[in-house]
Amino acid sequence: MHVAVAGTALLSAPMLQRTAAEEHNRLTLWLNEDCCLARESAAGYRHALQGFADPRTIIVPAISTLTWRTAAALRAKAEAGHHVILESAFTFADGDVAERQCRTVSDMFGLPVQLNRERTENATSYLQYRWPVEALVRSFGEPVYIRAGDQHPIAHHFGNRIVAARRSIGRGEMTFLGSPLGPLLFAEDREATFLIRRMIAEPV
Amino acid sequence: VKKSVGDNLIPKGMSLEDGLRLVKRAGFDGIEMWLGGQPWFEMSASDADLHALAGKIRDAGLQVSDVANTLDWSENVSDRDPRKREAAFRHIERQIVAAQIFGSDAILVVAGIVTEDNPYNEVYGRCVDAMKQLGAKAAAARVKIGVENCCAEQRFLLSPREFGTFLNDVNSPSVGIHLDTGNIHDGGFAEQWIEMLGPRITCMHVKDTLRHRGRCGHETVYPGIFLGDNNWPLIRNAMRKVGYDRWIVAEIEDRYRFAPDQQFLNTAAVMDRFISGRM
Repeated sequence: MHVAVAGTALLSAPMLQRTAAEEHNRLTLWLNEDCCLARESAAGYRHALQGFADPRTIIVPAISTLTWRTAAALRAKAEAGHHVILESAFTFADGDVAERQCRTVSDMFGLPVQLNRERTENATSYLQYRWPVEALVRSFGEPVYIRAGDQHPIAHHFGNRIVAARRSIGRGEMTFLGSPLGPLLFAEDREATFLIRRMIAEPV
Repeated sequence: VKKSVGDNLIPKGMSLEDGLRLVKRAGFDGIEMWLGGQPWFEMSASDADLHALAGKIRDAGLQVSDVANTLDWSENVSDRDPRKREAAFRHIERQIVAAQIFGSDAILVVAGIVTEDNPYNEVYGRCVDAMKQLGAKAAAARVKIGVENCCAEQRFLLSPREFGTFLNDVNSPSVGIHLDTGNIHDGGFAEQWIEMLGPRITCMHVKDTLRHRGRCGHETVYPGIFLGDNNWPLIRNAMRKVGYDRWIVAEIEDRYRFAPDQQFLNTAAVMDRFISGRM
């Protein structure tokens, strides 16, 4: 296992028991909150990325309470050369909180994200990833959308709405996932597993 | 084997005390308490309220066979939404506490609801993880969690082999199956489930079923015991074979339109015939 736990980690939670092997980690899971979804997502990444090593990668699983301070810390990591993969679970936050977090992502990372205003009864559909590989994966709840800008879109929903994007920040990079991948990894989704492995293997 | 009936069968408008008297008069040994099912047993009930409730049940000469809940259908441990999942943990933990207060050793949960938006593989992993965590809490309280087979409604754990694999993955002696003889519909045969999962059965719902899948509008597929397609002599033999000697609980969806008290009397009489083997 080459996965470390940072942030306000919940090491006592069953999914996140720290093992001796993790002391030799070279990839970081940044656990931000005490939430079953974040823990599940983190467990998914740990399961999918066993044996993978990339000292530059920081994954923030299923975040639903992104504060300005946390965002600033993540930006600093990206500027220093890390590849920060920020996974949004904003869709599960209350309306005002989710709106605020979207603004934080927009202001701090230059990614103009927005909640889907037209929530549908059946939230699930498939997302089409185009980078780093072509893959279809299920959405997890209503995705957060990204307006077109100077970022590189990497996944779309219903043809043209951007749901994941990456952009350079300083010497590093930010990849924003508008729909969590971690729970799909926890469910051992083949395409999602292949996708995340390639995502962290791609050079920044 | 002792017989019980759910407190959710007590007709609306009837007081708890009158309902308990009716259950006792019908000849039941115990009652299944449904969290969220009746005004006397809600999430808002304090420990003191539960102790008072336990006293009333005891005074009526009844035991609590098990503690079920109606809340899992709207707040489930397999839900994608973490708020609903955490709420599900809270009410299952409350069931465990209530079981202790009521002097029961079994609770019923509906673990896992597969929908278009919540696919099977996700539900499976989440349920295994949840039952591992809750199993540890149940063990500490000396209570067993019975995961109900709601095959048709849940679209989850559809065969006895699959259910066995699930319990193996959970790997907790405090987590078993609350077997419902009616929920299998045309997807199998209750007696085979009993044979295959025998020692892991924490409690049993005895319910008849019509072997067509699902519901047709508001028409029930769960008629009264002996009126459906279950093979009750085979079910009884399977129970004897695996040595099942715990509670059987009547769960009845189809309600008498008139004289609702008669339904308790008739159901108890039918269960006596089943227990004695006079079929």
